[in-house]
Amino acid sequence: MNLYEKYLNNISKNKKIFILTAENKLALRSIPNHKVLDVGICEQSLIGIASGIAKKGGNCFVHALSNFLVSRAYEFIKINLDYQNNSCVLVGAMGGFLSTYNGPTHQSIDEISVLGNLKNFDVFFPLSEFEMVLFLKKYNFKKSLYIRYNPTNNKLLEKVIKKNYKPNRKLIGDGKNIIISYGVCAEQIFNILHKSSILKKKYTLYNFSLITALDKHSISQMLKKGKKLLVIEDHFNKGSLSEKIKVLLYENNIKIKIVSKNLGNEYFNPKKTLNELFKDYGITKEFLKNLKI
Amino acid sequence: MKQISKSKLKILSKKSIQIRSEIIEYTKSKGSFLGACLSCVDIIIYLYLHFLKINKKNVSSNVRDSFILSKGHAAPALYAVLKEANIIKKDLFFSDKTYWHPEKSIKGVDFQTGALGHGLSIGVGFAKYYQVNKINKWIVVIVGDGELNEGSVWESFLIAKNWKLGNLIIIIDKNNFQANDRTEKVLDLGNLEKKIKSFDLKVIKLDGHSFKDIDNKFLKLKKDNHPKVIIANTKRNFGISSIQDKKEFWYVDRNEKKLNQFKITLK
Repeated sequence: MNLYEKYLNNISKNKKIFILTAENKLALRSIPNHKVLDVGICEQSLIGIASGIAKKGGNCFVHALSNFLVSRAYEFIKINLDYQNNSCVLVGAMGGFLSTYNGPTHQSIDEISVLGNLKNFDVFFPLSEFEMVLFLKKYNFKKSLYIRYNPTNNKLLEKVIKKNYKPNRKLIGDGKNIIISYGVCAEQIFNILHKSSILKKKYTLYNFSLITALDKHSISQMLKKGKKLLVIEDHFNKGSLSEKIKVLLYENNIKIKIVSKNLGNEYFNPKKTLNELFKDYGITKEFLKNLKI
Repeated sequence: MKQISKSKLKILSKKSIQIRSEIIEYTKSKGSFLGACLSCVDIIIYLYLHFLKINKKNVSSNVRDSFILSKGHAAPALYAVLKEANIIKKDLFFSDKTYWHPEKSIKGVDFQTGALGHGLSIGVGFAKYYQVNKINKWIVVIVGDGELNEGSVWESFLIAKNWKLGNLIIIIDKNNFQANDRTEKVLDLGNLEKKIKSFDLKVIKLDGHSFKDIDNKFLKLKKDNHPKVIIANTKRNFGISSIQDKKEFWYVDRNEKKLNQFKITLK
């Protein structure tokens, strides 16, 4: 069992915990079938059912491919979860630009713009499964939570984040150029900076996995010593974290040079690995070395 | 559950006219989807004043019988019955809080509905929670026959059957109309009974305006392994002969001059 499965398997002994899926087990492969309520490929009903269970006092962990979970079932999410504040954890698999060869019909690179403006919803893009479980252990079901499931596990990152864990924090570096990122992008940049003492002096990398925690205070803290800001994310530009940051900076009259790289700014890129994709989008060691913001 | 007595049948019939009259009064002040209210109001009366164990004392409990009005635009009928059951007050019934769809902050509204095609999946969630936690109570959901246009309802039929939700009663308010026309003209449901039976679901048919028939059929319901689907044959604007079973007056504006006349002719 992977970390998330172990976590779920452990808490599912409680009869108030419900594990639901719309026939997607990417995050649940080792969970015994009898512990999973599979509704079949019925994402709308999946959310409706979870809302009903939540209303009665149950805590639901709801799984499907990101695109279908978020977009197909959006009206159900908005009315039955968010508006009525029935809290559930939604776990979207294969979100972001890594959709292998499934193509654009299966790609979900707009979750922040779709869910990020809901009132009773948090949007969380963890660095790894390790971070996901750390976060869930503190989660209290007061708001709904969308997680872009990220099955990667990076031992180096684990060491960095496990001490006094909080979702939005510095990962590496001491430079005056601030990089804000999340999920697989943050991990990839961490790997690049980790191997280069020059880049560690040039940049400070912050993980911003809990997107909806963005406010004046959180961004001011990150920009305290920074003079320039680079936001790297796999999300459409419209409604993305970088766009939200720009609005926040403008509204609060915070003046800083900002560059955003929205790697998922097209529906589909048929590259298989993160390294290939980063090269394709020009996010390399050389790019970071030569970048003049 | 015991068979309803003759005296109680008479009481319910009287209440039916009184509650219809109150829905018309509501309509005079706020407008309403009167046609939809008057087709399912008798079923709601039976549920709250006889079948379901929901009252002023237990209304805030989360482990009682529960009711979802999936065809949320009939909310004034629900509000009027909640008032009759002393769960809400008369002032609230006529206030701005009781708008055309069930509002979550009102006692006795077990889930806020309005967008069609949502309520049945919510009811499946309620029923599953009770099944897993061994809570021996009923979940009742009323859906409109027009609402059956929504594919999500049929998804939930399948899931309810597969999960053996014997504590779930699905009532289809079959008044044969949807917003602007007869259901058969908009999107023909064909042989509804046959369709639902093809989902391997049990179907019970009843006259949705006869308390005796409703009671006879409900008496036989058991919490076994089968969700129940009840096709309640009803009439749009039932009780007002001039507009009953006609496509007009689905929505009635508060300025409608005929409202007083409707009230006088109520049967």
